[in-house]
Amino acid sequence: MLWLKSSQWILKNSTSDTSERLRIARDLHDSLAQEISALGYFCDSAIALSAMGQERQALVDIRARLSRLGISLRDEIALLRDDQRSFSTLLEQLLQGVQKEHPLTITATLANPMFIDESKTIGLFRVVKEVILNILTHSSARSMAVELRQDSHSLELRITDDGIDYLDSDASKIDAHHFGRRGVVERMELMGGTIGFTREDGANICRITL
Amino acid sequence: MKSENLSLLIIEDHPIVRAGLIKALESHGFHDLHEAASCAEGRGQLAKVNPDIVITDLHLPDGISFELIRWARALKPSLAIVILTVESNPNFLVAAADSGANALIHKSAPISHLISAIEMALKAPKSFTAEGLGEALRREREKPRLTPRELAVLEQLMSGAELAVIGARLFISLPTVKTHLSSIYRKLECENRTSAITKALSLGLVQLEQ
Repeated sequence: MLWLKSSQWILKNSTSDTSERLRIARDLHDSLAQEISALGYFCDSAIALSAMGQERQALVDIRARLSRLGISLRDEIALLRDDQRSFSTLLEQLLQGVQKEHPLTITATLANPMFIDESKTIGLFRVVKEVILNILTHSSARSMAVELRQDSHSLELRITDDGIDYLDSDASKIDAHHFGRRGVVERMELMGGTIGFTREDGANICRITL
Repeated sequence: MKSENLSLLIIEDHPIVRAGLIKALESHGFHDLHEAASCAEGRGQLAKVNPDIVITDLHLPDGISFELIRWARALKPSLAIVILTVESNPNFLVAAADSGANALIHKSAPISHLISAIEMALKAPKSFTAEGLGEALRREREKPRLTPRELAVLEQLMSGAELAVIGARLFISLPTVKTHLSSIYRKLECENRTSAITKALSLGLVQLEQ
C-alpha cells in the first residue's frame, strides 16, 4: 500500500506545515498589509492637498513605493497561503510577472511535471526569486535564461544572464549583491542543496542543485 | 454626477484603513461618507443610508462579503459596488465577478484607481473590472471538470480509504468506483492515486481540512 502511505505522508506534512504558514499569512494580512494600505491612503490625501512642486513629487514617489510594497506583501501572503502550487507553477508565474514589468528577454526551459518535497518548495522558490531579483536590480541584463532539469534523484536549475560581471561592478553593488547571495547560500545549505555563481563566456551563471 | 452629491458607504473592519480611506476620499470631493465594520452592520447601513456607492472589504469578521453584495445588488441595481482587498487568489476574482460587484481593487492601489472604478461602476452598473481577470477566467476554463461523483470519490481517496470502503460509503459498487477512478486519472492526466490527490489539491478542486 505504497500509494496510501505516500498520500498520508503528503497530507500529514501538508497539514502541519500549512497551519504554521496560514498563521503567519493571517498575521501579515491582518496587521502589516492593512497598515500599509492605510498609509497609502493617507499619502493619497496628502498628495491631493499639496501644491505642485518637489514636495508633491516626493509624496508621489513615496506613494509608488508603498504600492509596490503592498503588492510584494500580497504576493508573500499568497505564497504562504497557497502552498499547494507546484514549484514549476510558482516559477512560471514569477517569470510571467518579471516579463510584464521588465524589458528583458526571458527564455525558460522548465521540466514538467515537477515533484519536489513539499517542505522545500517555498524555500527553493525564495532562492530562485532572490537570484532573479538580483539580476534585475544589479546586472543590467538584456536577456536571462532559466533552465530546470530533474531526474528521479535530483534537481538542477541554471539561471544565466548577459549582464555585467558581478566581480567587476562597483563596491556598493557588490555589497548589495553579496548580501543577497549569502542568504541564498544559507538557504540552500539548510535544504541540503548547493548554489554556485560563475562567469563563463561573458555570461553570469547561477547553478542550483537539490 | 458630482462626487459631493454621492453617498458612499465603507464596509471595512480595520479602523486604520477606514480612517485612511475617508481622508483620501474627502480630499477628492466625497463628503457624504458612512461606515460599517461587518456584514451585519453593512446591511443595517445599506437599509438606513441607501448609498450610491459601496466600498467593501472581502473578509469581514462575520464572513466573506459576497452574500452582502448579492443582497445589495438585488436591493438597488444601480448601486456602484467596489471590493477592496489584499486577496490575490484568482478563485476570489471569479467569485467577485459572479457576486454582482463592479470591481475588485487591491488595497495597495492608489485612490485614483478606486475612484476610476467607482466612476466606471456608476456609468455601467452591470460591468466588472479587476486586474488579472482575464488570466483568472482562462485558468477557470482550463480546470478539468470533474463530476460531483468523481469529486466525492477523490475526497474519499484523500481519507486513505480502500476502494471497497469508498464504494460502501458512497453506496456504489466496486466496479463503479473503479470507473470513476479511471475517469479521474484521465481528466487529471495522472497515473496513480498520490499524483491525482496532489494535482487536485494544486488545482483547488479539493481542499485539505484545516
